[in-house]
Amino acid sequence: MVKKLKIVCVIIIFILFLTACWDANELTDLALATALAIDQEDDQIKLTVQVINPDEIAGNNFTNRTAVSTYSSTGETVFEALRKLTTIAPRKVYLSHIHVIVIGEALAEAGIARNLDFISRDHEMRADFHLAIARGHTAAEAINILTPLEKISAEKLASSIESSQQAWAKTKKVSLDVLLSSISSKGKEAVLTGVDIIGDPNQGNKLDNVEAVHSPTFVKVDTVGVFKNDQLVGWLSGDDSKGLNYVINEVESTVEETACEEGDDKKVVAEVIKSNTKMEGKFKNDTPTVAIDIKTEANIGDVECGIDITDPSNFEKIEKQLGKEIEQLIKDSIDQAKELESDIFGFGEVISRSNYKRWKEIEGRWSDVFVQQLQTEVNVDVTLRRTGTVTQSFQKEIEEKKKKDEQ
Amino acid sequence: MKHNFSYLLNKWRQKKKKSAAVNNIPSDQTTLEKKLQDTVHSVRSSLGESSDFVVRNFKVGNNQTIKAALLYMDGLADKSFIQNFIMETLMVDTELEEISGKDISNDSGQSTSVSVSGKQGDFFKQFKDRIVANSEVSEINSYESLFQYLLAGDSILLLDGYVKGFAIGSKGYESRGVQEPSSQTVVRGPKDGFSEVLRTNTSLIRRRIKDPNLWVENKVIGKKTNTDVAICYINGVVNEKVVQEVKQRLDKVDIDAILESGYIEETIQDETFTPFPTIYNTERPDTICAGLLEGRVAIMVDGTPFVLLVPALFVHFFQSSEDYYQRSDVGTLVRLLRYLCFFLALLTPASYIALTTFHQEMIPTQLLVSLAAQREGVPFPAYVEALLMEITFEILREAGTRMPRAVGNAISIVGALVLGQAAVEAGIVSSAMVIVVSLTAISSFVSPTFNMAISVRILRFGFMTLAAMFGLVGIILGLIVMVLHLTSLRSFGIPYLAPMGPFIPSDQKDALVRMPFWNLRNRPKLINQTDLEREDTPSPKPPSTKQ
Amino acid sequence: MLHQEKISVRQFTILVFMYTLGTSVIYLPSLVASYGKENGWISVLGSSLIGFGVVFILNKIAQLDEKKHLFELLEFIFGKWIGRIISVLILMFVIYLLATNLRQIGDFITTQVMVQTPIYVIMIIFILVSLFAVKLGLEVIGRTSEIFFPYALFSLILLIVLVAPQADFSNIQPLFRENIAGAFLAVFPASEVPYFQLFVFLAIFPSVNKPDKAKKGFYIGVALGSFILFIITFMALMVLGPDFTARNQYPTYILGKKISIAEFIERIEILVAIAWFFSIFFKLTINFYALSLGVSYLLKLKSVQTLTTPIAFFVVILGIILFPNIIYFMDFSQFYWPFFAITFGLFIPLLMLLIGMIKKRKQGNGSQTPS
Repeated sequence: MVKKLKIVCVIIIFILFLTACWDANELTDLALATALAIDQEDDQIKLTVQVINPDEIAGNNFTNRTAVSTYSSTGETVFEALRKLTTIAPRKVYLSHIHVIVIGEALAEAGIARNLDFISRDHEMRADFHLAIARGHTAAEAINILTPLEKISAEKLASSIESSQQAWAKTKKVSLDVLLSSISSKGKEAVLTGVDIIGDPNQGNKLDNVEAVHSPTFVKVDTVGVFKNDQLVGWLSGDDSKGLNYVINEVESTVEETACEEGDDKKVVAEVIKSNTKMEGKFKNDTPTVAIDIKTEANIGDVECGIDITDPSNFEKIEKQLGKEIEQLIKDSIDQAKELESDIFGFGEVISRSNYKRWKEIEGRWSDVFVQQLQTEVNVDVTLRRTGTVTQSFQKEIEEKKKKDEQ
Repeated sequence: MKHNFSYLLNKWRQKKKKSAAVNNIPSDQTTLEKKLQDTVHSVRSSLGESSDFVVRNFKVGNNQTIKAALLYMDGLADKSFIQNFIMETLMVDTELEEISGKDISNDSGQSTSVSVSGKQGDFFKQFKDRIVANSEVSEINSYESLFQYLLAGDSILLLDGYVKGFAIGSKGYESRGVQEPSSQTVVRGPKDGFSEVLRTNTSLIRRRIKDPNLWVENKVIGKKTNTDVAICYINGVVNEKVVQEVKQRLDKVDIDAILESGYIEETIQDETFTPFPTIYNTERPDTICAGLLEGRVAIMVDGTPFVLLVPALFVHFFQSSEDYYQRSDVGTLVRLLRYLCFFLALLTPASYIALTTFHQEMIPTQLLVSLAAQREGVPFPAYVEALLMEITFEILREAGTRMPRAVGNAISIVGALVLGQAAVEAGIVSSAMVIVVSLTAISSFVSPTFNMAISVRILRFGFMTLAAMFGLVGIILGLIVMVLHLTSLRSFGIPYLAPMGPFIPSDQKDALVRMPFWNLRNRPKLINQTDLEREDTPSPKPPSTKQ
Repeated sequence: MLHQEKISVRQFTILVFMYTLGTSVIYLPSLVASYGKENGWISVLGSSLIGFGVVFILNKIAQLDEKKHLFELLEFIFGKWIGRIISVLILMFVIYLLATNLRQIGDFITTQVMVQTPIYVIMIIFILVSLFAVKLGLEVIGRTSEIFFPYALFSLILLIVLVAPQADFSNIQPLFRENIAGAFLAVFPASEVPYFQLFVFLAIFPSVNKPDKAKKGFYIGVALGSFILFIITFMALMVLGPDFTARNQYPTYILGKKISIAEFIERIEILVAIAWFFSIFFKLTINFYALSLGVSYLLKLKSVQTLTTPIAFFVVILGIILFPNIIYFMDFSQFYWPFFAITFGLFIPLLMLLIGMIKKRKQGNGSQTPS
């Protein structure tokens, strides 16, 4: 027994001396990074990192320092630039809590593949952040803007990317593995969320920006950058992005509107609550064709005119009109993509899944085939479910009243 | 180191003899002196003229011819009993002539007087059978037995001219009555608890189990204290091997004093170097009865209300008798809660250290930010901070337990204010750490048995150190080592983690969960191997309302 | 006798299950995806068939004499000297297995969890825990496996359920598009790791209290293990896609990183890693036990535990010097390892069975003729 105890003691001492707590990092030794911005500066990579100042967010005594601060450094590679940050950042930059990585437009146009490897290889990086492109500005400027509601501006950016996709469907959130797999896929091209800065970026990184009721400078998310291979080739407008989301079955909820009558400027607005897309590839007379079949459920959200929605025939009419609107959206979106020569919808993959032999033949020149030959058959089926809290709109009474007044 | 019992006993006796010679005390085996005064004298000198030793000399018989002495220990013997039932019978009621007469008639006229010669046995027998009107009377003829009875509170009646005497049961010492147990209190359930008197304790059990198969065996352990120890079990239900093992281990105990059942616990447990208790103790008779009915063995020690129960498995320390008095679903939930709290008490500070110093990526950003904000300005690493707080808490708890009740309140105020408030405001510890430590403390109070709570307290520090060295990896490896150790433990031959490892499907009904009684058909399999069936109550089926 | 300790059939089954998961659960998806792309899961199915075949052979060998462990059987079948030589070879193979397992866990922790910690420290603490287990004996190992089994199973099922919402069928469609040959080729590398090592269970087979039921337990353990492996591979392919699965060293861990339910249940991949720690711990310990059993049998030592401590430290050093870097290790396990694995995991057991059957029949005839 005593011998056993001796052995245990030796082991404990042994372990105690062995350890130096190599991986232990006290919270006070870490700078929590929430956003990374990667820009091109001359031939070098400029890395900007936004770190949290925790005391300012959750501490007891607020000062007038900002809740986040940014540090930048340049280097040949992302990794080198990151390590160079240690010379200016006061603490070890900790990357696990990154919400957004913003890439500068210039860098995106030059090609992003070479910078992505580090991001996917580093163990501190988790795969749950969003990637975005700063449109018209440098990425550093985009993460420098202070936002009034969320003290951590990166979180604001991440949540607006997410909520705009969820409720509006005019952007698309992209995570690293989706980006990597679409860059490397032969039948699909990549897209990335676009971030605009409205207002003066130099104004936006000062505290004044959040002290005003209406912040003069803010960040807006409503476009999608289109890639060909790993290079940015153009932008989709909000509506085109929505079309894209319809095709790739990523619409969770959005708003569609249609005129009450042909040519009327008064609208009936429907809230899309569910949308399901099926794509099927086939060869029609040697032409590669993709049939896009969309089933959408919607609720009526707003009626501006006196149309009688309790009338089933009117209901059907609205459904059909909405279907046409969506169809148009999709067609515009596909046209735009063809213009940019980038198959962002993954039509190539759809065709390869249905007819692999034929796909192998056209795989090498897919981007030409996509632009010149590919046919699409869009079929949208909208079903209206509910009418909100009221049935008949009061617009009808108002119209009748107006008519009476006129008489 | 294997001494068999008889060898030990001999050695012990030899030792005793030696010491007796030195102190000029009559050795145990010697018979009493013929002359009464000699006997009394040597008893008195053996006791070192102790002040609580009382000798009452008197004369009995018709002619007051026979000198007699009554010896007892003041305070141990019931004085009024001696007065009313011994002295009075002897001195007032008895006509010794009667005896003498019968003596004569029986002996067909050999002698007419009560004589010293020859007829001792007969006279003695007569005396015992006719005169001493008490239920507990036994003959003594050596100093050893004399002291044994005398010091247990019995009265010794000595007659001049005889080398024998009587021990008359007159135990009557002051003791605490049956009170509500201070540990393991219940909301619903019996409120009586064991007391310090062995007899009371056995009676509490007998009153609950009226079965002739409830057997109580006595042993006297302790060279100096001569403490009564009782082994109690239900014959036919109990595992014979366990009883044998208990007896064997008790026989091996060779110790000066048994002041509490903890002495027994430590000398008979399976493994000394383990933080986990392998013997259960309780103040509650109902818990002991339930244990006996499962086929376990109770060991009762005179002088303590804490009764031991063996074999004791890991799950037993998470069971409270109230689990069986409440509805089974409530009992099950509470039991699961206890296991949860066991792990909380064990691992909360360790996990906090591991997460905040190694795995910051596992904490949601918002939480991490607020933790980081709290830690700004705290001068210690998380490990040291946790260690400080835990040690302070242990000090507080110990102070609270040992201090008089009245001071206890003051301590809790100081603790709450100093720790909870001032330390955080002064920036010495973070408020998250205070939450962690409080959670740990509250969780450790949930344990229904005190000794399991202590083992958790010990292990917690080990886990904290592991977490500070290797993070979660260290905690997991620590857990593996802990479980390996637990599975290697045995309590009186039964694997300690029994219904889980080895896994026994039929015993799961009363391990982590508590099934309704009509489902608990069998006694635990490993503990009891003979009479397995416990009951045959059908599950309740209410008469259907439809007619 | 070196194997007086008894474990129950249930414990044996769980040990087989844990052993099957072992190191594979975190490596296998990547391995099969690199061969067969989106058809990788077919390789896993195929390999589990091979696994059943191996178990069949092993059960037959065990049936030759249920009271003899692996090394006694070898001596019994091949005679004293050849048997011992083969025993020594097998022991060397098991030492290699042990060192590799240790190295794998070290590599995993130093790449994913604790980057700055030296690998030897991780290896030492793991082997110490394993050493502790072997010192306590087979019974304790068996019972401990029963304690950890629910957690390991539960957390793996939880992983599968929680990532299921992100599964995308189109990632593995259409079937047999290409790489069919690759998928079938991958059956062999896929069965190397869990199944061609199962022969070490012959060392603990005689310790099971009901040998006839243990055979069934062997099948159940392998079936359950390979089922989990299959589902995990399937999920990894569907959630991460074949490319990403093949590219990642530890796809199952990445799968854990993908868990995100309501932005609340997330960042819990370490729980997956913990389940893996348990399974690799048991694999390590069983290999360790078999090794110590063989060594003490060959050296005629009284107890299995006598030489465990020196073996433990030897294995740590071996694990460090065997492979200079991780690429070398990958290269080795891809191109050279299969030959070892097939020799020891398939060829020798087959040989044992054949010769053993012949020998037994001869003996049977010999004993029958006089009567």
